Amino acid sequence: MATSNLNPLDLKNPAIRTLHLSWIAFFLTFVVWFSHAPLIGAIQASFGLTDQQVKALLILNVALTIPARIAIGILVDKFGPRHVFSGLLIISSFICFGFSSAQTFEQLALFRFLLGFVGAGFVIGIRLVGEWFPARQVGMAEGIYGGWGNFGSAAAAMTLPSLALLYGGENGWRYAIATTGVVALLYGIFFYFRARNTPKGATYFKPKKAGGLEVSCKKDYYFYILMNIPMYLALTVLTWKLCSPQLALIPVSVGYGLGIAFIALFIYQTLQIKKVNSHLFDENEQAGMLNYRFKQVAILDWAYFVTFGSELAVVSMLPLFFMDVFGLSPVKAGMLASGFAFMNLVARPSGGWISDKLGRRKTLMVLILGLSGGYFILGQVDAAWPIWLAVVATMTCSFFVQAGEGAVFAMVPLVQRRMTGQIAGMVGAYGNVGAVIFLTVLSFVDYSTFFIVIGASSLLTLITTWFITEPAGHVQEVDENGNIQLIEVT
Amino acid sequence: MIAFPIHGKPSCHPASRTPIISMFHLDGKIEIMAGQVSSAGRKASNDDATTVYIPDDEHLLTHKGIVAIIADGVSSADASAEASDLCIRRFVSDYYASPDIWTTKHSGQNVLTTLNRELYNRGKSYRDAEKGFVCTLSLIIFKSKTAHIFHIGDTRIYRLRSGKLDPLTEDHNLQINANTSYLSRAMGLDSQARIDYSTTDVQEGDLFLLTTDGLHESVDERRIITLLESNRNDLQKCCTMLVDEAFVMNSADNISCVALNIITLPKNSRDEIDHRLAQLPFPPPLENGQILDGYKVLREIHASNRSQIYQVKDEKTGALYAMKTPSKNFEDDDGYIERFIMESWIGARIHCPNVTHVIEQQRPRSCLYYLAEWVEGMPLSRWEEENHLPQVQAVREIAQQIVKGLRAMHRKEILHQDIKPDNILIDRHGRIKIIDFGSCRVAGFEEICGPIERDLILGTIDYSAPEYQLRLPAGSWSDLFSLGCLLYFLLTGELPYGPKFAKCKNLADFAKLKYRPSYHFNPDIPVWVDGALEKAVKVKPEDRYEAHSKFIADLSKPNPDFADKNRVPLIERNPLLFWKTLSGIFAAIIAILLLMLASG
Repeated sequence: MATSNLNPLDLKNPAIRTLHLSWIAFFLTFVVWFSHAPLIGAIQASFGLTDQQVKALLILNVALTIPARIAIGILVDKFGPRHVFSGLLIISSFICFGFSSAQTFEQLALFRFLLGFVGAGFVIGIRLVGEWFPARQVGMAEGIYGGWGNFGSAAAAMTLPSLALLYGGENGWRYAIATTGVVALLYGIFFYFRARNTPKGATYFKPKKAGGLEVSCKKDYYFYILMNIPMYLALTVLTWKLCSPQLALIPVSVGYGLGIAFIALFIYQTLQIKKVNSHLFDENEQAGMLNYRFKQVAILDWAYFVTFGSELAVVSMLPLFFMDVFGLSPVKAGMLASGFAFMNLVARPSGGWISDKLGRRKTLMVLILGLSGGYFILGQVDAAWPIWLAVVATMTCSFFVQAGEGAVFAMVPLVQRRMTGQIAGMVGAYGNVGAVIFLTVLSFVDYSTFFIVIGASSLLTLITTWFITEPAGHVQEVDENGNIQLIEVT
Repeated sequence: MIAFPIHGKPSCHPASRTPIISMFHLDGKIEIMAGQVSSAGRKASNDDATTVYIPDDEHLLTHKGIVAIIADGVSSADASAEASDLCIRRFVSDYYASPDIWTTKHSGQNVLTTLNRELYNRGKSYRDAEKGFVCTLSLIIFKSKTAHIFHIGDTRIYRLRSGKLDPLTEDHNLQINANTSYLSRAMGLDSQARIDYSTTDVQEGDLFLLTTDGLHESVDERRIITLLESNRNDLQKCCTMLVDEAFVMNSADNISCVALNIITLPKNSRDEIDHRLAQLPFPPPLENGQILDGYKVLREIHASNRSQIYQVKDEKTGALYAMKTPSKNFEDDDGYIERFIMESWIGARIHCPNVTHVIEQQRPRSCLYYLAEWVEGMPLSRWEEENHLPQVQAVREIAQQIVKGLRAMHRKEILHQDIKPDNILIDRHGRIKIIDFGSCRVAGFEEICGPIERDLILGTIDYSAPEYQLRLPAGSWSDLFSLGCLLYFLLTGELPYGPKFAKCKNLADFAKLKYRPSYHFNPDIPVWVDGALEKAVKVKPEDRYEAHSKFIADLSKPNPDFADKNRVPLIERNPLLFWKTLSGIFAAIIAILLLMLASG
């Protein structure tokens, strides 16, 4: 909509420097977070893991991210992005060392589970970039941040198998993963010294506290509570999976304990939501200036569930997929699999751009239709396919997936500006829920069914996007003399 | 509530009259005829004041309307004449400077609340509150087809329509007995004034009359009706006759009245204007060369995540302005919008060469923004970079001007709360302007609107006084603290307490801070200037200067209190030199010892 003359090469501009600092930090969190995926073959071999155990590792990796996002959000409020980002990088480097030196499956599982925390790094940089850029440029800046940072998983897939080979030997994968930890550690320290929470002279405004989203009416209030259930379901499914006889990672009694804890947490959260929305139940109190419908948030939640959720799941399993289906070496499989995340560089920003240009609802629907088709095609891939065609199929599919992510986040700020942070938080959490669910599905079915499940759930989401309302706003028109006229869009 | 008798001593002086304005014509929209007389009557001095104000500017006329005011200084108060005069003058200037986006009610309430504060605080120097700056006030604002009435005290507003005289106000009196009554409410009486607000419709042919008690207690209503009706085409004459009549009827008080005749009203109701303005859209990001409401954008000066500032040129007059626009990020944040509009009002109310002036909106607007005078200059932060370790005299001149600006703000009960190098501009001639009222606090404002959501830290932490962190009351002493830090920074490039200051959270943290003498960083700074700086930035407000003027005085000539500081030991005055010397001595001793060893 608005032109943004953001020049990423203008390194003299402190805001641009901060943008680069941030996306590299986010990039590294992704490298560390997905360092296991391209090396999973080697890990499986050296520990003699069953397929079930491998898939459990993949799920564990994304599990902790759901609650971690909330924790990270609170920490950023309290300490500011600079401390939290460098802290996260430094701590995660040690967890990474733990993973790379693990001796048993239990240790692997524990450290993978803890590394899920790194996945919440996204939130920090979004805040930092928001502090540094004016409204005119912030969309573009956050697109670069998110897109280039997400590319980290592709970078890991492309480089780590070769790096492991370079180190050589049975423990090559250990050194490769430890290397990502070292880089994260050093960069975390560098980040601490170079990054600043705000431009010089500006104040870091602590955002308003809130235990939940404010909604506009009672119907939305119940809708909102209902929409929180899938997050707890995802956690419960995961616990159940970990208790299952094949894995038996945690005793059944602990599993029940966790289940009760989830219920307690859900009740607590519902009470918080009630507190924030007390005005809905008090006849005397006037409602605030809210006029958004919660269905907008819910639909974006599901859209992100199938886009980002499937991306995380697919990025985790794709190297394994190429090795199993085509019998490729880990290096080759990693390289080819990286094609999926590779598209991030352009797809995500262009999703936002197209959405601004052509209408947001239409764009979102087209993209989801596209990715659903893409997954159905991936579901057909078997050993008979030429490899290049399989790669083209993954890349095409991933374009729709990531452009879809961009389109979702182009709409988030337009739902209710003042609650953008909270809405983004919920949408992001749904992305992780998607990853947990899809990876759990994968642990039951073969690859082809896995892709078809994602494709089918995308079709369901497509139906919900039919009900999303194009956000209203003012549109500016400039006449031949340069006069600005504002036209209300209804 | 304080109550006190209002009828002062009788006086035998003959009436003196001061006719001021008589009649106004306006093309098209609203036409009103007016007359007014204010007379001392039998008293020595006239404590009454009246005015009728019709703006020439069409935009102001549409959005702010026509104001008629009557005020009666309370006779037992020493400064009553001054109070009533100040009240009407200040109301007119502040009301017309208020943002066009505010409703009439909101503007009136804000102006009167701050005005009441000012009167009350000025009056505090008198021992009894009722002896201070106290007056009654009744005012009526005609805007489109509605009259808005603000009223406090016992002055009155009447409306005469088809032969019927209706009082539109209620006297705020406590009747003790037949002869004595007490004024229960007035401007300047209490820190919080309870002001009545009401609206009434206006029709063509309506007559309005504003009176002080000297008139309406002496002339009966039937007489008022007769005189108004028979002189509706010469209201000045009508007012004169009313005042004369009151005098003849032995009125012992000052006698004043304002009469208004509504000749024509605008055809279309503009009542929805208020509503529409409250929902103005935010302007889009502006590109160079674009024109918004007749202002051409020349370039973007500054853009942050909270606002944008552009340099614009008025297409009609060629004048340059700075245009500040709100950031899209806050499009539905009531608190932010409220504060943004407030900012423009603060800038419009302060007339001081050292404070940037916000220009009143002169034409219909299509979106939310405000214009400020264009200042060609650079922020002091850059000035410091270009003039590292400057002459003390240069900083002194800057200090004097900032204090002038701050004083102009404090006089209107406004705290700046964000004095820092980036918020002060200096031009080529060394002239200083304070900018950015985004953190300002206006006394009394919170009482009207409720506290603006303030879970955010206002001001920049390096320069903001400890009381903000500690949530203790802030005052002019807090701006003084920031000014002290600012001057210290200009002189040294450092801050008085170093980086630890920004990390302090509670009183114990602040108590541990140690002031670092400025001459450590800039040896040219005299000890007595440092003494003044140190006193300005004391952690406890009560240890700082009571008045900014005292601070300036101490910066300009040596205060003997700080002279003793000359005798501070070398280790404190210049630790580096001390340790260098000491090490030198030790080195020499060691060398001698070594020599002795070698030769021995």
